[in-house]
Amino acid sequence: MNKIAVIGVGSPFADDHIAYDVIELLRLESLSSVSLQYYDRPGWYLLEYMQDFDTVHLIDAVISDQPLGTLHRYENIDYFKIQEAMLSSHSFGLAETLLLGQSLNQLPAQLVIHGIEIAMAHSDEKLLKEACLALVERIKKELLCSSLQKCIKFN
Amino acid sequence: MNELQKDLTIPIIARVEGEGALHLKIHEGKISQLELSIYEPPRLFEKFLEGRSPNEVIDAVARICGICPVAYQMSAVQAIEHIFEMPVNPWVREMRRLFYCGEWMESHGLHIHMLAAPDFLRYPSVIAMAKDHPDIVKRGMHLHGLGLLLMSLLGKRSVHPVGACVGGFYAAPKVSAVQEVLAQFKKSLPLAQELVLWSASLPMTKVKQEFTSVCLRHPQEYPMNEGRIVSDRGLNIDISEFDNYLKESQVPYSTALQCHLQGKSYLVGPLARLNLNHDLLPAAVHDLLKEANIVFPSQNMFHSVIARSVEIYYAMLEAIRIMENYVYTTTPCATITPRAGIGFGCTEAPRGLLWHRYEFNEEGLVASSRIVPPTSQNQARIEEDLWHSLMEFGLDHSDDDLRFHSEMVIRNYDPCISCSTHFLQLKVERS
Repeated sequence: MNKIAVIGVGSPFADDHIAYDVIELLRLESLSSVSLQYYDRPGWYLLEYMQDFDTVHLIDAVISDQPLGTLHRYENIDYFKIQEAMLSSHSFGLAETLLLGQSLNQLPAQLVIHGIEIAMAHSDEKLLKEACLALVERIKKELLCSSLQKCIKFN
Repeated sequence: MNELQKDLTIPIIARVEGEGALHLKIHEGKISQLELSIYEPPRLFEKFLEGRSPNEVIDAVARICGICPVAYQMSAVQAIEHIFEMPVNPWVREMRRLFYCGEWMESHGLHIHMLAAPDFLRYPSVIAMAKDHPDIVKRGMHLHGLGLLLMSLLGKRSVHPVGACVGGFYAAPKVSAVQEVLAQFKKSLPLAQELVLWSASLPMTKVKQEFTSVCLRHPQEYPMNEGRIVSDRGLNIDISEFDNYLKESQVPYSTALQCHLQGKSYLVGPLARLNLNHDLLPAAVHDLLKEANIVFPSQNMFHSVIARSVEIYYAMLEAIRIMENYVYTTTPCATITPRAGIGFGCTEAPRGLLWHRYEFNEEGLVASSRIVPPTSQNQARIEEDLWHSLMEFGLDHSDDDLRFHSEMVIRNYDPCISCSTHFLQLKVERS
């Protein structure tokens, strides 16, 4: 059986708590076979939380040059660029953790990273709420497609 | 510029907490100037605390450091309870020790595996090291995670915990929760023993240096939350006398204050603690050190990594002892009666002695505060170590080699610049 988890990460402060909001919205849906989890800045320990699952959808806040509320989606973590020689425990974020997981061969078979663009300071709550709802719909659809594909493969 | 004279600058010191730089001037094959510059801006926490109530202080100081928040909370709580003349009941005393065990495991676990091990095994980062040594990294992650578990048990969360307060804790953990954590600790204890033996086998210099170790000393137990400030050169003072002997001063090239003991540099941290308190470690730790063929006290600065491993093992033994004797209480916190006065707190943060002084006014609010973190106390010692270590290493090495060696020496102290306020650009001038 394919064990699936949707895991949100982030601090409880300011807009960084957005992954928590998405997990809470997903709890209102009928996703009985999906484990919904949220961790406050887990660092590299995230790898231990993910290791029992075959499929993991990770949610985190993102700051890039995109407009507020933009949804990001990554399946290839090689996309992430880090300053490897500069790593410290304070700066060990999600990208660093996933690259460590890749080195350890400890990532789930299927890993999807969903990001929501936030701002450094507290920002437009309405816009971010809409982004959360849009991400909930996207994750539901992906979970459904994934289970349908498995059904088709099985039949 | 010829090899007799050069300037070398490491503009940002890598794999340390916070931002700093090293400026090295080499003249006629000798170091003419060596400056460890901490350039992060002052964080002004002491000023932020003015006007705050006792428990606001406990929550605020936890934000000084994401790695050692418990240390800041414990030094503050001790100082405030000193002012309010509050006795500490045995349950709270034991739980604070348990809380501290969690932080030592979490902080040391991160430093050994994420920051120090790549130096000893010659990798640019833990990510590169993990490909060849996955089991070592996984063991480190697991032990670090157990530390987080303990911090969450009492602090309600591991990052900037919120469970501690003046007088004790807001809530006592349920017996079942403690039993669950205890079971995990018992199962994982062999991993900590393996860690000590592995750290003792790391390739490292055998060079010894002259330095003074300073830490807390308690008559009955390995120091965490209580004790007198002692050194291996005869210092033995009450924590309220800190200012009379340990003097802070500003150097023009660093935003962090340096601290000297009677005008000389000194070492705080796990190696200093082990040097002065090894006799208080249980027989199980001594047996393991004998097996590892490591003897403390040690004047080899790189034995710091072994000292951290030993303290992880000790913290696990101590946590198991405390959890085995755990009894639930409905009164985890004593009532506070604020009053005016001056109080002192000094505990052993993972990186070393962390001293606080608070003055409270008649309204029970902070009138003034002072915080002396371990990294600022170690700063002068790091410069002295760099001076010796680079001369021993040889100044005719390439700038890249000098940079790597300098960073390894600095990282060995596990400096937290953000705490101190605030490492490495290396600038070498050869002339």
